[in-house]
Amino acid sequence: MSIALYIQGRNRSYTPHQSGWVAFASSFAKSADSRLTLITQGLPPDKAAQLGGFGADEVMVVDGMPPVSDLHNSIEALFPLFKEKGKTFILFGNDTHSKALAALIAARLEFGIVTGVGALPESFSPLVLTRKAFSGKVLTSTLVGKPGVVLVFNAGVGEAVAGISSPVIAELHLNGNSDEGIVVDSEETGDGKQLLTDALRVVSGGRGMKGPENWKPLEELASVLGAALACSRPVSDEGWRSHHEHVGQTGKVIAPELYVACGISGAIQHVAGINGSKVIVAINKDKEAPIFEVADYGIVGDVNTVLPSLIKALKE
Amino acid sequence: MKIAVCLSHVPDTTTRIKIGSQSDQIDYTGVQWVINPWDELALTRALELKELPGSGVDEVVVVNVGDSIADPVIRKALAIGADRAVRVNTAPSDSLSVARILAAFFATERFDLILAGLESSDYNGGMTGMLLGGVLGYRTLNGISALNLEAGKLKLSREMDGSRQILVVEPPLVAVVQKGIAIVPRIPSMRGVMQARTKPLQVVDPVKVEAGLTTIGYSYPKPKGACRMVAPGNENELIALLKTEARVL
Ligand SMILES: Cc1cc2nc3c(=O)[nH]c(=O)nc-3n(C[C@H](O)[C@H](O)[C@H](O)COP(=O)(O)OP(=O)(O)OC[C@H]3O[C@@H](n4cnc5c(N)ncnc54)[C@H](O)[C@@H]3O)c2cc1C
Ligand SMILES: Nc1ncnc2c1ncn2[C@@H]1O[C@H](COP(=O)(O)O)[C@@H](O)[C@H]1O
Repeated sequence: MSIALYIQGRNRSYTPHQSGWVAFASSFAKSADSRLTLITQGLPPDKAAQLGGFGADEVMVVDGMPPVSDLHNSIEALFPLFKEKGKTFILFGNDTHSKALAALIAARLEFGIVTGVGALPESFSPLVLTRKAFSGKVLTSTLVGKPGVVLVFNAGVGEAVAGISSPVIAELHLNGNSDEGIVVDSEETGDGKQLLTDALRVVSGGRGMKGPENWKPLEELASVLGAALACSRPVSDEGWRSHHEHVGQTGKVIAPELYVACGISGAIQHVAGINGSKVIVAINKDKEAPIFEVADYGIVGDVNTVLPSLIKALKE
Repeated sequence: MKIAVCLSHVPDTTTRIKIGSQSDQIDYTGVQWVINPWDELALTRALELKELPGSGVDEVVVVNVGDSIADPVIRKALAIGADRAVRVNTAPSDSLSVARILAAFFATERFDLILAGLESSDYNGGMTGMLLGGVLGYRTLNGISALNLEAGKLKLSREMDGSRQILVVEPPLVAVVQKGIAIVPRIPSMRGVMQARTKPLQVVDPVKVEAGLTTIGYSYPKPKGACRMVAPGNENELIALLKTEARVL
């Protein structure tokens, strides 16, 4: 048995979700009585070693590599490594690049692929995995018929504890062809602000906020909490907030430790994007609002009065 | 240029999902089937591209792997404006099998651009498009939030986590589209509905593939514990609970 987890660093470092994936992969490996190899790309060796310390036995620090959007050649370059290190399981987190590699390696190795993995298997032999389907309305148990499977983890899994393992580090320079049919015309590398999908705390506003001019208290709450801002779909559709903040089935799927929903009714399509949150707080003036069915803590009240006193209380 | 849109049929998101009496299947009686929302947006963008003056797009074709349950949904796509449809006649199973079945079809008919959605709202697998690209060996990209044509090439915007690239890609390409690809999905016009009745919906046989994964059981998630209510005015209490009980502050 051998288990490999792939992680591509962000800005030459790693995010809390990524350390969670290492911890979760490590519990996978332990339950399967197997070693965990972490394969990293885009991380300097010291950061890769730190990340590996969340539970890997071995870290392969890969550099070189074809351009990121040249996915076929990226897989071509990584293929021998996955084949050697991931005979039983090849694991990925659920960011865009990882999902692309997950699919291409599964297609190439003819491995089954299961996404949305948020729990350890029901059993290892035979391998049975439970995952949510229909936006969380039901759980399914999937039987993986033959050995060799690619799994994609949800964000927010794993209890990351730094330095619980001291992995062996190996550096590997991979070259690869590059496809001349894919040309990068321009590139934006973000403004360095915390990404909504990475944030451990998120403050979110819905139509109950009544208009973009009322976002001040949300911004203030987010700033005292060190949280990122999010919104429901109508809010971004109306242009009150940027589309980047829209969460839900047709927006971003997030899994922070704390999600504060303000003036959001809690429609199923909204909840589909946030039900991976560890703790949900809802502030809504309607005590029958469906958001209270998924929330852990709630205040039935007007955002115009509750938010200012919440901010005041937090500052004290 | 020919564009294909991979279209999956899914229960309307607001439908209640009932587990069958054997708990190894979903009871679909009375379910309202719709076009998967992402595929509706992909189709919308494909049609917008075709209508650009001098676009060079000859045809937009929707391709579905499904049994006859999908036909009304496919007709709707034709009513929205697709030129024709192909249904590979088998109930879809796991995503690698669907991707292989699609790939076998695309081996018989070449398209310059194949669009798939970010994920289907039933199993939320989110892999079929990329798997299809992998099996076909076409250029394959996910995270596509904008799509344009430029001198026979595809100009696209690819969003990765925290960064974005504008790429110019030579066809053939499989593109997995997400938010931004089109703003509002097109809806059928009366004329479109009339025309859809006579547009070709070709039913083809699937290749045989061996499913690697089987869904062996369904269950309902455990109901979440009751929401703990804090009276307005007692925000201090909420903060204390978040600190000591929930331990998130
Ligand atoms: C295919 C499809 C996909 C969708 N995808 C998404 C998605 O990804 N994300 C998403 O969010 N939605 C999505 N939707 C829309 C979704 O169905 C809901 O319409 C939407 O989530 C509602 O947004 P809201 O809660 O902000 O607004 P509303 O439903 O209007 O709720 C406003 C809430 O604010 C409360 N309120 C009003 N005033 C106050 C006040 N002063 N103080 C406190 N509370 C107040 C009200 O009681 C109410 O509960 C989708 C819909 C479809 C059909
Ligand atoms: N049965 C199907 N027939 C055609 N296309 C499909 C089918 N299932 C999934 N797809 C395509 O793959 C995308 C992602 O679906 P999934 O991998 O099932 O989440 C969808 O948006 C469709 O474009």
